[in-house]
Amino acid sequence: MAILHTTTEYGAVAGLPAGNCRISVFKGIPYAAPPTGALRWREPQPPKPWTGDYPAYTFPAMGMQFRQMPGSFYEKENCVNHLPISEDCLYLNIWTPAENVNERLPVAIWIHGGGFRTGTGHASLFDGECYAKRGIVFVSFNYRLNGFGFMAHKELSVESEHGVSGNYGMLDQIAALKWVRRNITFFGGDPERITIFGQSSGAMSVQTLVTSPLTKGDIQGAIMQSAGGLGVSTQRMTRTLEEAERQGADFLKHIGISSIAEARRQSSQWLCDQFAKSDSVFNMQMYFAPNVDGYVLPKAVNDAVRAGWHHNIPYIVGSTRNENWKTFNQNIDYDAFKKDAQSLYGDFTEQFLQVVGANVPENILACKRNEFADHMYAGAAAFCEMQERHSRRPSYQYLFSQPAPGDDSGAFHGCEHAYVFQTLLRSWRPYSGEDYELSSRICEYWSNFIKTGNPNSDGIPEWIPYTEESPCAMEFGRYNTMFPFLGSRIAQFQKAFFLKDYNQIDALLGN
Amino acid sequence: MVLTKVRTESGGLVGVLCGDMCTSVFKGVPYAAAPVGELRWKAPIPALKWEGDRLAYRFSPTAMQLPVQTGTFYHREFLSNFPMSEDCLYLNIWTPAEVKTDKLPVAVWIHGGGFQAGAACHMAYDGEAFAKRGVIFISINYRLNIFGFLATKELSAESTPHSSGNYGMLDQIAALEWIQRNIEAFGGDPDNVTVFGQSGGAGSVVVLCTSPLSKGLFRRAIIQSSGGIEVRRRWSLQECESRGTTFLKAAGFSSIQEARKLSAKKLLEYYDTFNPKRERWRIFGPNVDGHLLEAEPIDVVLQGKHLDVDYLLGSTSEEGNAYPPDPNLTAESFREEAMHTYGQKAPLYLKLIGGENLEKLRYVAKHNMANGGLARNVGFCERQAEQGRKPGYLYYFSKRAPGDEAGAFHSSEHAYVFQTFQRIWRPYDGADYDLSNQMCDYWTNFVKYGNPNGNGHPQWTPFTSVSRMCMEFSGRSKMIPVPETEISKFQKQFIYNKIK
Repeated sequence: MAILHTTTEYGAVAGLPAGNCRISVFKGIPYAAPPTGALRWREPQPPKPWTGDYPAYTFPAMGMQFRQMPGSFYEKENCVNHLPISEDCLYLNIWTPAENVNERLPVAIWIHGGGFRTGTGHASLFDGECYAKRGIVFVSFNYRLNGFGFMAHKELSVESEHGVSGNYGMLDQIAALKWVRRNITFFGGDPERITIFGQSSGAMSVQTLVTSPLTKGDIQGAIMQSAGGLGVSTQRMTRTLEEAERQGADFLKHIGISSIAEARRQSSQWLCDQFAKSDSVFNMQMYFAPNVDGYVLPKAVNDAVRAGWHHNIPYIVGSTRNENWKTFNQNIDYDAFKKDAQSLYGDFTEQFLQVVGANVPENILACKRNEFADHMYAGAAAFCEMQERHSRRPSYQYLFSQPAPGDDSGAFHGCEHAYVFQTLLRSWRPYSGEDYELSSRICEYWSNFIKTGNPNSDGIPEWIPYTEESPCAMEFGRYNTMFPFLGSRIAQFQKAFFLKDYNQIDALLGN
Repeated sequence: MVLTKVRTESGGLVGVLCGDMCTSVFKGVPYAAAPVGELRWKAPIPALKWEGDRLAYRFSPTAMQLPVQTGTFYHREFLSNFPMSEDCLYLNIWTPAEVKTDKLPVAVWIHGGGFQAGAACHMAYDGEAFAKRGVIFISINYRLNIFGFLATKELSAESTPHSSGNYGMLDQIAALEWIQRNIEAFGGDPDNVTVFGQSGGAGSVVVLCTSPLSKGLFRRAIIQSSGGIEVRRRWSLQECESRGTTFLKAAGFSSIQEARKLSAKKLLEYYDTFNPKRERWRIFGPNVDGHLLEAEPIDVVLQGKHLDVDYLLGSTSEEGNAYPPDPNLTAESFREEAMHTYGQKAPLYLKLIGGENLEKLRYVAKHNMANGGLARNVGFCERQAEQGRKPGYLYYFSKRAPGDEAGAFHSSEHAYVFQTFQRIWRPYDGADYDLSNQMCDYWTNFVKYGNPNGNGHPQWTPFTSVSRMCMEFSGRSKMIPVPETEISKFQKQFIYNKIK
């Protein structure tokens, strides 16, 4: 039997056996004080120590977030809409197979996605059993989201001892990581062998963490699934603290609040309802997201990667073939399209519009349909090339192409979860044996990487890291083989742009 | 939102969400009072009521039993040692119901272990796959071995029906009665209950199906890898009483009162040292006491007095594979065993084996269990057909487990039926996964409708006198003629009294 009772720096905790009774799971351990009342929009504080056993039996509430539309695509995929939400959400969950505290097993920390607005570490498709079964201590957690986690404001910066604001959700993630560093030995984990992995905004979080000086020495490996890398997703986190503060002020003004003190007096549900509308009101993707505050992030993530400031550790980075092609916003508004391109590509906006052929509305539609697939592939490939330019250890790239059975959504954004966590049986989708085998292999690659920094082991196809000489990705699909993938013209543009290979952009346009 | 708070006759329960976030599970729900102290070796009585809500987050201790040795085949496979206690009469409920009025079908799992060991919480068993398919899954613990099945004259004298030794079975019936009274609160339909079990659990199902006490408690039965209708008959109450008395004497007790004062741990030690080990399953197993069982289960079946419910039954093709062969097997010991089992008919059996080549005898001994399973199940289906009962759905599980040479060993179907591959060490592949999906669909369809078919899987036709077919679960599911062997036919004729 694995450890069912252990101590932490704040008090003793009691867990329960997982479905596999040789694994124990501790759910809902507080890693920070509830960020409520006066602690709303403050850096996470240590939790209050307790006496007696903390019953770590049930998942905590999800962070404050708006509900998915019933019947919507992700509502059906995630099955979390009925779960409680609360501002009091800074808890983590641990799966361990360790029978005693001396085992020192490698540790994996999962960072959930959801655009920094929604999501939870305990969504139905996430699970630690398959990793624990392979000798890994698995940790998932919740962090503050949307305006609760990412609203910056001059007043908030002034009251902060670091003179910054708006990166509360990231600081929560760092607090969780630090908690794991200090406490995971009590669960049989090795604090010197921590891999972080995440998908979508979880992958952007991973990229942020490996770029932050606050986590130096804390992370030994990183996996970025469908975002992160060196590309569009991380470019969306280049807003400066000043911009973010102004956005926070604009937002408060918009909802008729005149001071932070007043905002702290508002109910969390009312605020949440207001935050939900921010993207559409201000016509901006990810209105609330990390900012370059000089503290968590001294430099924009993409600049940091180009400068080689990010941690020199092994990386896996990849994306899915179809990403958001069924769920994209089909509104063809040339001006909005151009404005978004402007924010990403600056002086190269015209070239981008040319590559898209944006003068034809159908081309804008096509671009938006493949937007995530293009830029996430490009971001992964560019990151891998940049590793080589820094003479770093090459990274492993993948492309997940297995179409999800049950409808025509293909290899959609997030479709790999059921494979990565071996939770195919929990999905409504009619997965078959071939999915099961792919899932076993992916979990094996991930586990190997978490243990050794190398995803390979006997019995599964060799995954060769991406080099300029052999710019190949591992395909996870009907065929599980290495293959060279150039990407679409748009993806090639993006890769060249973020690598600053501007002559390649000219070549692409035939100039 | 799935039900996580429920009121039962004894008090409130708070369950916990399963990993799928769409099923809730209530673990360690008491269905009878703790059978300790004066209640040791008595029929179960209702559980004590409690105030407020009880957290039903964890499995109860298992019934008292000898520990499974670490490193042995079944330990590696799926058995673990859990905390155990005489206070063990608890059940576990997985429900996908969102409202009490859902009226979902109910499947009640009775674990195996030859009435000597086992527990509802072993990791190969799970309710999530059934719940996902709209079935409420319940697993129960019941008293085992010396605690569940000691008979003595004194015990019979003090009981109202003047019988003793069937406490473990009465526990199972108490659980089924509790389910009748309470399952509606979990969104279940008390009129649509299936009992199913494997090995000793299947033996339990057979006893339930042939007992007058279980009338009206369930509508369907699944019997996996048999157990119940044995080649060797169960003992009568008198025989068990006499063996029970011998046990008490050997342990140095002069009265039941004295034995009731002994700690459970000490009693288990006495049970462990008590001989003969080979007969334990008969001494400490269900007996024909005139109350639970009015006659041998086989005789009840032959007379057509067993419950007229829907039946699905089968066995695996290599039941005996995981048990170490008898290193001391000789032609003589083989003959003795045959005499012991077949009595006067032993010469016929030995003639059928033909010769005393040791290689051959070893082979026969190894396949004895698989043949026995076929014999019992085919024979049962023949009786159903003969008696004009609803025809039984028969299966033959021959999928060889990946990872070693154990093949389709006894209990190897659990991971398929319950979809618990991920918890087992074996490198299951896509074909296993597909088979598992099919089997779980067949099982749950049977639980729902009394007919396993649906979901576009190969048609499973029941066994009739004109269509002597079974569903084979191998690489893929397909109907085959029942794969009887000369030996299984002999055993069948012996069991069902057909040898002239």
